[in-house]
Amino acid sequence: MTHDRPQPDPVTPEADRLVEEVLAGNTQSFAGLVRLFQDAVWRIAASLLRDRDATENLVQQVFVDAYFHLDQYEPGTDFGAWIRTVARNRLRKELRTASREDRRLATYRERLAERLRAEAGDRTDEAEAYLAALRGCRHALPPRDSTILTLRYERGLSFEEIARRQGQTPEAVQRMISRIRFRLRDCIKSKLANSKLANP
Amino acid sequence: MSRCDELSARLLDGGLTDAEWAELEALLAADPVAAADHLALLELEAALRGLRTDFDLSESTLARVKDTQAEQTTRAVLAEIASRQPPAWLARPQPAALPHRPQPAAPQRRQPAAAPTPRRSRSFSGLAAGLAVAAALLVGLWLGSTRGPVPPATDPAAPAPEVARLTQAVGAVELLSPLGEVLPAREGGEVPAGHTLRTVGSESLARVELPDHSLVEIEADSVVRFDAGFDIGNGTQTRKPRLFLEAGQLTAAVSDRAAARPLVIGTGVADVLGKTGIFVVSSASPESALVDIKAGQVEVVRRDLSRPLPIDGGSAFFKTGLVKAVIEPGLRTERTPDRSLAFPGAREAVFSPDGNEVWIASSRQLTRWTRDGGTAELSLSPRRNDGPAVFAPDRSVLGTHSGHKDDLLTLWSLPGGEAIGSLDLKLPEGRFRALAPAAEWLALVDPPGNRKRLVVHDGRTGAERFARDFQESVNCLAASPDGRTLAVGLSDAGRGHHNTILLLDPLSGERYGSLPTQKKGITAMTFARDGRHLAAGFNGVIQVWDVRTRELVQTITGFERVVMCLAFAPDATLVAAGTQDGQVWVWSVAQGRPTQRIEVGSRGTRSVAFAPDGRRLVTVAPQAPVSIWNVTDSPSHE
Repeated sequence: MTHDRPQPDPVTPEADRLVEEVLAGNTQSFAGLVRLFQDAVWRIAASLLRDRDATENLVQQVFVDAYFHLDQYEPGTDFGAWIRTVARNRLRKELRTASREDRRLATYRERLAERLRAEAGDRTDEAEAYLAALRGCRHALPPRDSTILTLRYERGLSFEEIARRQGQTPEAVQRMISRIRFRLRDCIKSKLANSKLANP
Repeated sequence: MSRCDELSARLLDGGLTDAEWAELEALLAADPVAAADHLALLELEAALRGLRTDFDLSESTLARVKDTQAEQTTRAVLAEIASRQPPAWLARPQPAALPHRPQPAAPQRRQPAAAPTPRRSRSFSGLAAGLAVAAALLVGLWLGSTRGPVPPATDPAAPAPEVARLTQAVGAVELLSPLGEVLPAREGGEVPAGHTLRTVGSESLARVELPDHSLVEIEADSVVRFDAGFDIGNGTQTRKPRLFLEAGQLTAAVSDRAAARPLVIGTGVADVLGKTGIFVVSSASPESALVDIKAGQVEVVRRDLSRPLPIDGGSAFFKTGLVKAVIEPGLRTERTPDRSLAFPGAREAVFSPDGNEVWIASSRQLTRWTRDGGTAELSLSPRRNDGPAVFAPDRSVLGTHSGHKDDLLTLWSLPGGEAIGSLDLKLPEGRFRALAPAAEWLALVDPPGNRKRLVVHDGRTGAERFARDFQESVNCLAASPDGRTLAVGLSDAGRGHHNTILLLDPLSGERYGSLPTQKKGITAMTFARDGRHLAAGFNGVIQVWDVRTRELVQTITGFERVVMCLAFAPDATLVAAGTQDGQVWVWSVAQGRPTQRIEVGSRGTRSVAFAPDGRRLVTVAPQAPVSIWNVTDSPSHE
């Protein structure tokens, strides 16, 4: 089992104290560990799953896994790194049982998440900038594209249902959505690049 | 569009073949620019998919999630832990230093506490004080045939500490090692941890003294396993031993001299009789445990999450895991309805929208029962058998099916009873169907025997809108009052932890979200009139969810019965549940406390519904008349 960072988190002493209490039989102390590290686990799960329900379920499962293998944690190392490893193991386990499409998507998303981790900098600002760019690019879409995007991603309708409502074939709707995605991607890329130029 | 873009788009839409996947991989590996564009597309797709649940990676979203989710996650994790077997590292005493782990180098790390915290010490501490003042406690436990809970595994290789001493053995008394070897049981001999005492024959009896001088009498033909009261950490015996009553009966006289901790007795089906005092019952039985105590407190340890205990002569309310309950006066059971009407074969009854009539239906007949007691009957089918009937949530349509394989599902307008449509469909019983307002759509579990497939049909034509196949069993369906949401209760019998309620768009089958339910299978489900609250019934538990925020609003326990049907009061302040054993319970949603208990006169309550004013209830059960009950304002105690 490998850890993310060689240096322990600042919260490690507190985590170690809680681990010790839990191992001594005080299960309630595990609540403290959940509260301390829930945020970190959330970020990992959310970045890969991008689904609130799935993320919630996975976070819970990660901490349950951690509890039952708590004796494998080496005090004095880095509990944060350890729990993140548990989270990634659980994610991989879940993905093994996912559909083929979901597995493939997850494979790529994991690469994406790795790239995001590798890129140093303030991820908070980056996420906000990305969302702002997305909003701006959505506003710039023609009304019909905007409607189709809403039906697909906010209402979650199938291609068939959108096609029925729009008087199109499902194949045409699929092509339109594909085109909208590329347009948004290029628009966001351009906005982010301009933003970096303006705020180097 | 580049080939890489084309394949990426296909990946997102789920149409990528294996060969294309390999091609995409190769293209990405060869061209870093294409790989970056590909990842950018994936990032966009993830952000777009997050729109559906208002879920993104912004700090505000994560902060909101953290605020709303932190305690819920914490509770869920602890409940899950409590519901499982203890982990291996907790199952046996370990020395304090845990020598298999290296000592930490961090200087900030605190040393182990001088007096390690006993397992579950917080929960037990309240009882400890109570025990100190309890002069004596007599506990008798009677068992059914089911096995009791399995205690934490005892390592047979480890030295077995003494947990008890056999002070008297009458007749055939056997001592069994953890491996099942029969050892000589001598008066004055030790009963080590993990060992079992068995009394054989009607004249047998064993008396055992615990280290704190508590006395336990093991009756004839009983089996009791002993677990040490060791605290992990320092290997010393700091709490009372645990006894696991596998079969038979025992009586315990618990000493108050050692005080400090309650005696823990594990059992399967337990009837616990006590005059006064505080004690702990550990019961993992799927059956009921009855606790009858006139005063005091009882803690219940259940491996099965949220298993409640009915209390005769009192009421107890249990949440998850290790809980403490204060015995309260029991609810008076009502057996005399305000009014009743014989209607053999009735399947459902509802109040008319103005509350002036009760409409009762089977597949054969619709009866309108007025406030003055008059009835108007409309024959719906010439068939002799009574098949299922279902009212739409807005009371505008009734659906019936005779149950005969050649018959159609018929839709009737209400209140007139004109046939407005026939669909070439079967109508399953009870929870396996959901009819939308105005019969806009109809959701069915198809086929009911398989229960893995959900089909939603157009209510006008019967045409299939969509079908969904599940790995889990579809246990329940419910339509929201506005017809925009279909709730699907899924039960994963094999693993349990995947049980969930899916919220689907009945137009497209797309998923709005899901509600993680507990491990047991869902047995009934209904929406409140506000469309926001959803009640889900289980064996002995009702959960009330807010489907908008997907938060669990209330968990109602305290009854050990399978919920067959549910109804919200119009203002959603009360929820009523009809149970398999022929009762209807009414609870305050806000407090989770029962306000009324009714015996409807027959097992298998089929239907329960509130009047529009919320002050009356109508109930349907197979061998009982359809009855109207007044809803009480305040609980009536025995």
